[in-house]
Parts: sequence; C-alpha cells; structure tokens
Amino acid sequence: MGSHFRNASKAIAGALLLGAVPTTAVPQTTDERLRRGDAVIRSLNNGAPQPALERMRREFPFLADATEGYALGDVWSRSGLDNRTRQLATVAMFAAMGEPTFMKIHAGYALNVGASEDELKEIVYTVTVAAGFPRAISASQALSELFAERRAASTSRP
Amino acid sequence: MSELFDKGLKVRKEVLGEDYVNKSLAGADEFTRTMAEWSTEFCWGALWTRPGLDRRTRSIVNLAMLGALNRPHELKLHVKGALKNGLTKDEIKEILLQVAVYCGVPAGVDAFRNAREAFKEAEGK
Repeated sequence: MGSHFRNASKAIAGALLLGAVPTTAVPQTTDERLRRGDAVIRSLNNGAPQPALERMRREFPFLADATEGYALGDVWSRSGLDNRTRQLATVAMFAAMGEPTFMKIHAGYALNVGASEDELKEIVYTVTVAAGFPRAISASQALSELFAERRAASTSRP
Repeated sequence: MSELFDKGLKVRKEVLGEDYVNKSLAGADEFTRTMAEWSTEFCWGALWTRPGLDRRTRSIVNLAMLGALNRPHELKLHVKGALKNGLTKDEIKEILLQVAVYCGVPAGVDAFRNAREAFKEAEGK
C-alpha cells in the first residue's frame, strides 16, 4: 500500500498515456482513500496537514498511509456520525485507555470542530466510572495543558 | 438510602430498564450490595445527573470506552441503554468502528458481536 502503490499508480498512469498497459491495472481506491484521509485531517486541523503524520511518513510509510487511508479516509469520512461526535468518542477512548498524549491531540481537534471545553471536562468526569480515577486524573492534566496552550496561542496572535 | 442513591436509581432504571435494575437489586447479596449501592450512587446519582452532557452523548462516550476497555457484559447493557437514549443501530455501528480504529480490530470485532446480541435481546428475540 501507500507510497509503493502511489509510485506504482504514477508509473501506470504514465504508461497509460503511452498506451502500454491494460486500463484495468490501476488500483484507484487506494489513492481515493488517501485523498479522503487528507481531507479529514485538514477538516480537523484547521486546514493544515498533521505534522506528526508527515514526520512518520518518512520512516514508517505504511503506518502513515494506513492511518490516513484506513483510519481517516475510510472510517472518519463515513457519514453516519458527525466529526464532533466522533471526536468526543475518541477523546473518551484515549482517556479510558490511559493515553493522555493522543487524547490531547484529539481534544484539540474536538475544540477545532465545535466541542466546548466544558464538554471535554464532562467526558473526563465520566472516565472515573468507566476506567477509574487515575486515568481521569491523567486526562484532566493533559486537558489543562491543552487549554493553557490554546489560550497562550490565542493571546499571542495579533 | 441517601438522596443521591434515589436519584441514581431513577436514572439507572430509565437508561437500563426497570426490569433489569429490579432483577439486579433482587439478586444482590450481602457481598455484592456494597458495590451496587456505591455504583448506583456515584455513577448514576452523582455523574449521570450532571447537566453538561445529554444522555445521548453520555451513551456515545460510554460505548466507546467500554468497547476500548473490552468490557463485554457492560457494553451489552449500555448498547441497550443507548437505544433507549435515542441512538440508532447505525450510529452505534459508527462508534464501534471508531473503537476498531483506536483500540484494535479484535476489540472492534468483539464489540460488534456483543452489540448484535444486545440488539436481539432488546428486540426480545
């Protein structure tokens, strides 16, 4: 998958122009998936690519493309649930699993797509029940950092 | 019993169903009663009654967390509760797909299996 497929697609597309390869050989769905994944990232990240994903792409291309194609392109771009709700569920999962670093990233996306700080706090409160107090407390600390960083960033802007 | 326990019991019955809760209370013995009372008071009385998230959203984040943590029995209960709180099967499907992405395919597959059983039980089959 990924860059191999994309390179292959380009090669095949080039070859098609020359009329050398049968027209059925191009796996269009992988590129489409990646395009949709990229659109999802930008919709969550204020129009920008995700820097961590772009760094990952250099050394772990399969992981980067699977994240973009299968997690974001296939699942996140499905229509059955809006982005805000998907984000709240994802923040809750990361908090419950004891992954405050990932939770912080997704809590930022949640705020970008219209969730409120109070809703995120309320999710942290529910973590006490589902996953125990230590994970809720870790999540609260990560959220406090995020809120402070966003306030600092918004006051430093002209 | 405390006032919070009474409030909690009311919400618990509204979400999980009166029959289930009555059976659960009747089945409690000296050993399990302490846990049942504490969880009814804290989870349902103190937390679920908070205004910051509606019940539908509480169901969504609960399903996500229970799927993530591989808690099949509680997941089934809360799938039935989620239906009562207005979630559709399709919305539940989307939440469990998110579980597969973030917590692994086995967690997702198990969650789908348990949700399907819960749907059947909710439909009385």
